[in-house]
Amino acid sequence: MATAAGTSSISNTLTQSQYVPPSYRRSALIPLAFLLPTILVLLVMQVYPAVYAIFISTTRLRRGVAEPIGFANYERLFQTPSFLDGLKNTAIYGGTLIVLTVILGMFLALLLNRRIKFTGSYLVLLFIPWVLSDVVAGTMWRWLFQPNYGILQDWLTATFPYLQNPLFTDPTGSMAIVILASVWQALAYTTILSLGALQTVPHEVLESASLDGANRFQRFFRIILPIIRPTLLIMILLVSIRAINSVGLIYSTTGGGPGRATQTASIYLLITGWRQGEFGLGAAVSVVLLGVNLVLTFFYISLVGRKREAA
Amino acid sequence: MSKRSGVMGAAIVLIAVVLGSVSVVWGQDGGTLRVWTKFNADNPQVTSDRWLVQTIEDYRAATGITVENTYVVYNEINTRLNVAVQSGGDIPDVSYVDSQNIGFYYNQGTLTDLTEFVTSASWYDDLDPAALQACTAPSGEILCVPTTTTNFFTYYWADVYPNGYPATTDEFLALAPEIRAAGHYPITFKGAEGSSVERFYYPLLASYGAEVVGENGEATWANPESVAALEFVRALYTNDFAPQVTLAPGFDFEEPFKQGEAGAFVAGTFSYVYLTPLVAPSGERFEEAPPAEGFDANAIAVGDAFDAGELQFAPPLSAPGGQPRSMVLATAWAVPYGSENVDGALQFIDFQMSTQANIDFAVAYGALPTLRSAAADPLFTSAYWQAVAEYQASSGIPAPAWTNYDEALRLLSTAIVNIITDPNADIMAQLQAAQDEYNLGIE
Repeated sequence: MATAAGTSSISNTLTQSQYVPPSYRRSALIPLAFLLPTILVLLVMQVYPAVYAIFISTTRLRRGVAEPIGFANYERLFQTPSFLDGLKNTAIYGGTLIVLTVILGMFLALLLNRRIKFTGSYLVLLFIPWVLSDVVAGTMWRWLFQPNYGILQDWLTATFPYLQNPLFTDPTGSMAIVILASVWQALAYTTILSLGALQTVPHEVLESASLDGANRFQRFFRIILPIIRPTLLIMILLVSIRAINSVGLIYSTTGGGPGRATQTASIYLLITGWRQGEFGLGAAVSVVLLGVNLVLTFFYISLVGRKREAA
Repeated sequence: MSKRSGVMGAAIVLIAVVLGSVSVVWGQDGGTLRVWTKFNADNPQVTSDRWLVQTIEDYRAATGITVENTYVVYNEINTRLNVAVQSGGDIPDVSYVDSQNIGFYYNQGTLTDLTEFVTSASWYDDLDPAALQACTAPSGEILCVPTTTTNFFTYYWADVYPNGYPATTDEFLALAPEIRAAGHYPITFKGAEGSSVERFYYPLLASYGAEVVGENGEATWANPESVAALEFVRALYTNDFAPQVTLAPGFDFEEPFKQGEAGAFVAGTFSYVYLTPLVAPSGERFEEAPPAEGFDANAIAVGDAFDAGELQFAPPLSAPGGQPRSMVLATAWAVPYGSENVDGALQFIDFQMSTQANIDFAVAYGALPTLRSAAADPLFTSAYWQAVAEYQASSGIPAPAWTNYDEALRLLSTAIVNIITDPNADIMAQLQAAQDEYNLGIE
């Protein structure tokens, strides 16, 4: 009984200490009111379509009527070589794109961070590909490697005569063109992000490290990299999502060919859902890709969180 | 007059002018008809685009109805129409369709049954029965109205093939090394993407005796006859007899023939519209000459080269001991399911099926008209059109009745490109994999 009474007393004390006056409660709702429009937009524009896509993926559309077919679209999807090849191509394309854009972006950012002359001009030049539309950029790269009159293809043929086929009609070569075009376009993004992160590194810390005898590599790997790690991880996450969802640039460069050499899962989604009109199957592809994107997001965010906890 | 009354007066005049203009427009307006075509009336580039501009004007003059055209790219119009119907979205009143998709449309329930309309039309008895068959579903329903038929054959440079174009693939392979050694590619054609199957691969498979479609619309591509045909195709690339640009997307494959670098070209009846300018292997350029007889005003290059004896026509290549085959495709009008203006759509189709309208479209598109009265017009008695009609009669075969036509084209063309780009790939295994994937999607 004594224990029970004691517990009750503590409970009352806590309740009193947690008492919040009604006026304060009202003011606490104000931020929520400000957030409400954003939440509503997100619900309507993001959550609803995602949920609807999940619903569509379990149906077959006929004349505007959705017939429920359970998980048949998913079963078919994972037996379809075009989709499985698409996943493989997405992994190759995405993996290479991430490695190249992050490393090159970081390298360029380190150069620009040294406050060399004309840094602003270099940044503008770097940024042009990023603001170009995917279709314009894709068409440009397609013309550069066009087997008959492409300038770069002509140069390649003259320089490397042992390359028998034009890159554009070779499965590996066409993937190389698509990756090259994507790196060229995304490099501005990773460079700017990396440069922003580098400029947050305290100069004093680097100076004292230098005074302690740390060389350039030690300063980069032991000081700079740990500080900019959260930005780096977010950058990798965003480039990954971009790679997985990329359609316009690949489609306008190679159309997914030759054969299906550059047909990523997103291109397969475009073909199935829109060109073939198989909404259910297309929605199933989009749900799978959404799942992949979510897994990657949770993975990267958990990495960032773990680092913060350790700090 | 005070300032105020002056302003009032001006306002009244302005309102009267606006109302007058509106009433004039209302008086002329007979309504609107929403049409989907693969022709661009807003930015006309070729004769078929210009034909549409003229047709829209003629139709408005005759009926007071305004035609609103939505331009849909040629290789997407059929699937996008189906997407619109299945999603219950923005459905046109009437649409251009390709007859080879009729099995697909039937399977999906995309089009309205036009049997009663067609069989009771004044032009029904004048319509080519073979063309009408191309618009007829397996159930016997007529789902579209054919306007022209087109097929595929060969244009070749007489300088490269002075003794005429070979008839069989064996003869071709025997002659090809000599032509290649002389610096010319023996042939160019569309080697990738779906339409490569229609233009070149399927007719070749058929000539070798391959059956590519089963009774229920399933794919039956993996058979020894297909393998034999594709061994020939692979030989074209391993021996460098066909330029690599044939595997690029789009229409770059035309360039080697247009520049006189390739001796032969797998052409459609309509190709003369697009192949301009032309440079013969002799170096002679065909570009600025008066239109040749039997061709439309835009076809000066092919027509002129033909008149000069530099360019010749020949049937498609056949298998050794086989018959040449050419796929016959019909352009057509159809009324999609869910059309909000079926009566207007039928009136528009009826307008297109007069003899003169049929001639106008056929000439602009570069194909044979489907009305016999139109086909008898002197325009279609030229050497070119006589050759086209002869090839169609002797080699023509209908499109395979795959239930998902575009998907079949995509998968088969992809398998063939894999066979070409990987010389070690097993042809039968590639065909089997593509066939299995296609059949997986059949209900």
